[in-house]
This record gives sequence, structure tokens and C-alpha cells, in this order.
Amino acid sequence: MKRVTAVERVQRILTILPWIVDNQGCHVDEVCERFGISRDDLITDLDLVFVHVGLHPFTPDVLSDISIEDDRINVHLGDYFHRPLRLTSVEALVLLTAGKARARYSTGDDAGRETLTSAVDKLSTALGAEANDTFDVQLGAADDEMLDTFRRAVEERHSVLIGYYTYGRDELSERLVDPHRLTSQGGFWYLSAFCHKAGALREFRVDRIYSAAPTESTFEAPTNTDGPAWNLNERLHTVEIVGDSSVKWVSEMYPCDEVQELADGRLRIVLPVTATRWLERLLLRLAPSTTVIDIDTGEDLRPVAVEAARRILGRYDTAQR
Amino acid sequence: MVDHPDLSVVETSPNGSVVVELSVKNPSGLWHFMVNLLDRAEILEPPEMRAGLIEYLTSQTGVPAASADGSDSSSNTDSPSNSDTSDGEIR
Repeated sequence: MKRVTAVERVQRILTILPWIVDNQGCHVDEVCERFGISRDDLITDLDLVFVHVGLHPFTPDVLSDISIEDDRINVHLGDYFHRPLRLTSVEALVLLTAGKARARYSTGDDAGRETLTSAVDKLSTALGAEANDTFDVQLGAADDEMLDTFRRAVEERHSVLIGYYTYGRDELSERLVDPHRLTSQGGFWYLSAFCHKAGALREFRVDRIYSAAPTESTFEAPTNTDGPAWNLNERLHTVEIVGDSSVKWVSEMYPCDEVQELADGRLRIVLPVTATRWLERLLLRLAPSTTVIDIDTGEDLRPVAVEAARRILGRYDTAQR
Repeated sequence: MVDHPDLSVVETSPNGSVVVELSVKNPSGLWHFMVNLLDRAEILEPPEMRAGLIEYLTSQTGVPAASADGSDSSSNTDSPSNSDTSDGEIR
């Protein structure tokens, strides 16, 4: 049996509920037949609305009331449904931004795109003629065609062959991936996908994907795509950094095992490192007085930075040009 | 890299390498930006920025810069296509 996603379920409720409101006292069987759902699903959906739909402070006037007697359904939505929604300017702007973002990055054959664009235009008009031109929404640098490729792959569940630049190892590779989710975070697009090369879930930054070719191969819908896909268990080193306040950004930017302020005011940071190139970049940005060791072996890791600096300086050696 | 909002690509060579221009307000920011690119990129000009990065790397690690040339501006006119290993250069 096809598993219904949360989005599909909300869409179903938003379709059925207004019809029931307009047809008070309708029969359960009539609703099931009209919308092609089972009795159990209908009752479960109505229970969800009854229990969870309302506004603070959750007094009776702002809660939805649903009653089913002799298989006849009556719905009373909260009183706030009886007057036009009055958004504050901030709420309207947030809604407009979200709408523009969704419309901007939905695929061309998205059934709801036209409706959404129309709603965004109406909202924009309500806010003032210039509102739509005042700002644009950019969720991250990425090729639109590539985003569409991944979005379709997520929806249609087909695998994609990608070329990827692995920043941490500073290397290029080709991988067959099963795209699960496309998200924007912190100004970048990320693709969560099962990587056949790694044999595990991985997170790919889309602006580091240099090629994407859809394949005929399909995959089963993932049961769980939540949670980070970074694999910090494949550690090359567990690194201890001790330095002055200038190293604080490390603890703010990267996942750390420990962050501790020492008695002398210096910071001690312990973090996992999974690739040498990543460690090189980190070390070259730390003040020379910072101590960096492999916490398991006691090895001084500063020579890693020295080797990286030699390679970079090699580019500036006139004898090599 | 070329998607960075403050960068503009001024040359693209057949091997895929690029020459980009960017404005710099804080040299330290440029050093960090450059070390993130490791040896895949190089500052072409101005000479003082080129020398500044060499000085930064030398002071960071103690690697002598004896053979590194931070003042020869004539090298800044080299085409990136002269090097097959070039991925990007900063002008």
C-alpha cells in the first residue's frame, strides 16, 4: 500500500474539510466516496483537525469542533475563520517571501505552481504595487537546470550520476546517488542522497556538483531522511586545538566533541577531522601560536600545515612558472 | 568559487581554469579565502597582495619563502592556460 506523506495528508485535509463545512450533516460514506478515501482515513484526518487545529489560548472559540453522530458529520471551525485574515505587514512580508521562494524554485510541471504564483501576485498587490519588485529571493548559488534535475529525481525516485568536488579531500569523483531531499540552508543548496559509492546517506552541496545525468534506475522511497547525513565517524584524527580567543570561530563553525575554556583564558576545542585537505585549510587559518595535536596519538599536526604551505608557495616560485 | 557574489570571471581557458577579479576590503579575509583553495589558485596581481599572501603563509608556518617571488609583477601577466593544473587565479 502506498505510504501517504505528511504533505499529501495535509493536502487531502485541506481539500475535504472545506467541502464538509459547506455540506454540514453530510454522511461519512458520501465523503469517502466523493474523495476516494477509506472510512478509517477520514476519521483519522478529522480527529487530527479536532485535536490539533486552533489558536492560542485554545479556548472553545478558537478551536475547531467536529462531531459525528449517526455517521453525519458537522464541523464548526474556529471563529477566526469567519472574518478575513488580517496580516500584519511583517506577517505579509514573511508570507510573500516564502511564497516567492517556493514559486521560484518549484519545477515547471509542478501542478500547484500556477496557483501559487497567482496567490503571490495577489498578496504582492495587496501590499502595494512595488512590493513584488522590492526584493528577490535567492536561496543559494546553483544552476536552475541542475536543481530541476534533482527535484524531479526526488519526486520520481530515479537515480542520478553526479560529478562531485569533495571539498574536504580536494578531489573530484563520479557517484551514482538516489536523491532523497533538496534543501536550502545558510545560503547553499544541499542534496541529501544515498550514495552508492559510499554505501550510505550523504549530503552534497549542490554548487560543488559539476555534472548531473539522470539514469533509468529507480529506487524505493526512503523511510527516514531526517537528521544529518555527514558521517563524522570515519575519523582520520580527533584533533585538540588550544589557542587564544581567535580560535573561537572554529567551535562556532564546525561540529565539536568538546569546547572548554581553560583557567588561563585559552580555549580548548576537540573536534573530528575526516580528511587531510580539510585539516590543512583549518590549520592555515589558525594563529601560529595555536597548538594542534592528534588527541589519540599526541602527534603534533602543525607539520600538516607546513606541507600545505609549501605546496601553495610552490605556485609562487618563479622557477616553476 | 565563481558563484561568489563578489567575484567576476574575466578569463576562461580551454582547460576550464578561470581568472577572476574581486574587490578586497580586508586582506586577512583574502588570505583565508585563498588558503581554502589550497594550491588550486594563485593571486596574480596586484603584487602587494601576492606578496602579502606569501608573507602570511611564511609567518603561519615558518616555511621559508626564499624561492617564492612576491614582487615580480611580470609574472602576473602569465596566462592561466600555461598551467594545466590551474583551476583558478585571482587578479
